[in-house]
Amino acid sequence: MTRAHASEPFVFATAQYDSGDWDSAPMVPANVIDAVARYTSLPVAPQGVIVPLASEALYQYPLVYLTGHLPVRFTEKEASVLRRYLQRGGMLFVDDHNHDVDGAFHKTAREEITRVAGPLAPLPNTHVLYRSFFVFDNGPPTTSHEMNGWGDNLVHEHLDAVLIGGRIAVLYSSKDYSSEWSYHPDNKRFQSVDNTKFAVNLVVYALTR
Amino acid sequence: MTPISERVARTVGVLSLLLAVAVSLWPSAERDAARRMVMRLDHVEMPADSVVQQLRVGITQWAVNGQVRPSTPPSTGGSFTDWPTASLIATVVPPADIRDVLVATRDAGLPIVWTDSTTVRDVAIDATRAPSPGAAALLAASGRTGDSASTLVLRDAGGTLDSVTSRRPAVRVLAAQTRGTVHATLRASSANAREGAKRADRTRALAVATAAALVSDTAGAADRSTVGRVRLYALPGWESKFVTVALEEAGWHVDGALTVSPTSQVTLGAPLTLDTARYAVSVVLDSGVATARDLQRFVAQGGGVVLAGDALRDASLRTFAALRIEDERPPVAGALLTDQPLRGLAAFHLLPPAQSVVLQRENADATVIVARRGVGRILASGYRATWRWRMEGTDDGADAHRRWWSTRMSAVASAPTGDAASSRASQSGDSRAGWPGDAAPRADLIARLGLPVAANAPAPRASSPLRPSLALLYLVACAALLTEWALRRMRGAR
Repeated sequence: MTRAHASEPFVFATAQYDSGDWDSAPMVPANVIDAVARYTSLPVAPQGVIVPLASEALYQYPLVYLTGHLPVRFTEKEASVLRRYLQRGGMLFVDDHNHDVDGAFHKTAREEITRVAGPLAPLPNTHVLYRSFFVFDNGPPTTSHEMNGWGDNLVHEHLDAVLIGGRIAVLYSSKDYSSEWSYHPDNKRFQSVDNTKFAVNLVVYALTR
Repeated sequence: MTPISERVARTVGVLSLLLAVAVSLWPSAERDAARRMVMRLDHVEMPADSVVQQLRVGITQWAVNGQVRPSTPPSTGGSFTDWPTASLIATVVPPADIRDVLVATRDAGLPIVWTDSTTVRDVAIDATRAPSPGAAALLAASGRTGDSASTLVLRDAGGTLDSVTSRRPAVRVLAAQTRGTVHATLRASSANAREGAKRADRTRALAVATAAALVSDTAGAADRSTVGRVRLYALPGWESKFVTVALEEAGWHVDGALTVSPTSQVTLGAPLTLDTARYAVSVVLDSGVATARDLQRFVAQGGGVVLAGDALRDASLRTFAALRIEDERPPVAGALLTDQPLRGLAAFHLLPPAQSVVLQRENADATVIVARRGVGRILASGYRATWRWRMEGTDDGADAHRRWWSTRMSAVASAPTGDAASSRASQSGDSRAGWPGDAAPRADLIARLGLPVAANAPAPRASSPLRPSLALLYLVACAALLTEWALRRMRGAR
């Protein structure tokens, strides 16, 4: 048997949309890529890409990350491309960078997701996402922003999702992983526990389920 | 003056050498013909005892003539070098008991080849179980056209589903999605066909009943249990993910273990040992993730193997499938959005092995081929990264991708057809459960005894690089010449 050989590396993609501040967490891609390379044997591209939501290039990246602070309103083209993307099997990970259920991003993003993909529903903390690589017995890991009272001053017990065919098509987080993971990967050495481990679960889930 | 002993030794050595060369140059066909033990099978009512008698007489004669050494009978596990090859000339397809005798004899150590002198024109309907209860069954008709051009037609109550005309004695496969009664008709369409329009019309009620059960919601659950699962061998990635998605959407149950780190795997379903008791198809999508030995064993049990895309980079898997890659074609930009989306995928062009059927071509280049291997089947698809078809293709790309993969799986899936003979064999624990049996006696004979040989083909021999007599001659020649050389040196001559 020859050595296992993967021909396509995983490429982390960040969605660029017309409204709002899509690039509010510029260090997240590097940190996620670092975590995937650090803990798994998955081939991963060393650089992420930015892909316009209105572009059909989106279809080349079956996992896309979207975040921001400001109100989100998809253009018709963005909505159309995103709808097709999800129907074909793409997965969109949306994170509220405000960590505020009364914030503009949270309200508008959920409305737009509902318009494009259908209503979000709580994802059970027993979902396979929480065991796809690391085991998170209590569901999504808490963030420091939840613990220190910023934003809505809530610890969100679960993530929300839109499922298509039993698979997560849209994963919505109010936990502000964008703040939690937006730092230079070299600084992980100052942390007692790596807080990007859940990002590995996200990527492994997207690649295998 | 040369001593007499040297001359004797030299003469013996040269003569032995010449004799050995002469034996070596003796026409192999004649030698093979001389080693054949020819039997004939001319009518189906011929009792199995007569075949046994022919075998017994032939072996006795060989033993009496001293051509079989009693010290190495097959029962002792000795060498079969001296045993003849039993050559069966069949003008009719042997019935089940004679097939059993032949296979048992072959298994006991006597090589058997057979020559197909039948004029049988076969037609058979093969119902492949659709994996989901609501889906229609996939049906394929196979025909052996004989020497004349023939047309094979698959039709149901609504009319013709598909047809194909062949001008050579080859197997053709037709596929159709249907829910009703299906007829396969084979007609001689050649103007010079002596028998005129020969019609073989066969409706396999059991296969039709299976198809009808599959579309029944109430029978669905029961039927699902008889449809084998899919064992996936792949690396984690978009290809393995979307192939799994497509198959599961089509109703297949997929098991797999994807290695995501040196110490951990993501499991899909409940992956177990590759065995036809659980799996109908094994799909390999990457190189280095499956062993040819396991796949070989699975195919020998009657399983189906799909080797796709980057799996064909694995030399051991290419050897297992007996195929070669002719060249590699890059994706054609924009083709995913046309009516030929597969051209938008990178692809290997394949050199199909003998006895294979090309399912898909790009001009003259084969991209998808399927071949029968014993009771199992192997399909090789040269298309790589097919997930792009689903994600980057047209709006119906996802449906087309799903159908394409499910159809490819059906082409090789080992599927119990509900055939009465097979059921009886299974219930009785008969090891022949995987063979076609009397439902298709010729296919059964081929599956169990191998393909027929041409009438004038040399008989295969048990493996032996040299016959003992030949080896002995070479040995004597070497010894004599060495002796002559030694004698010459001892008297001081060069």
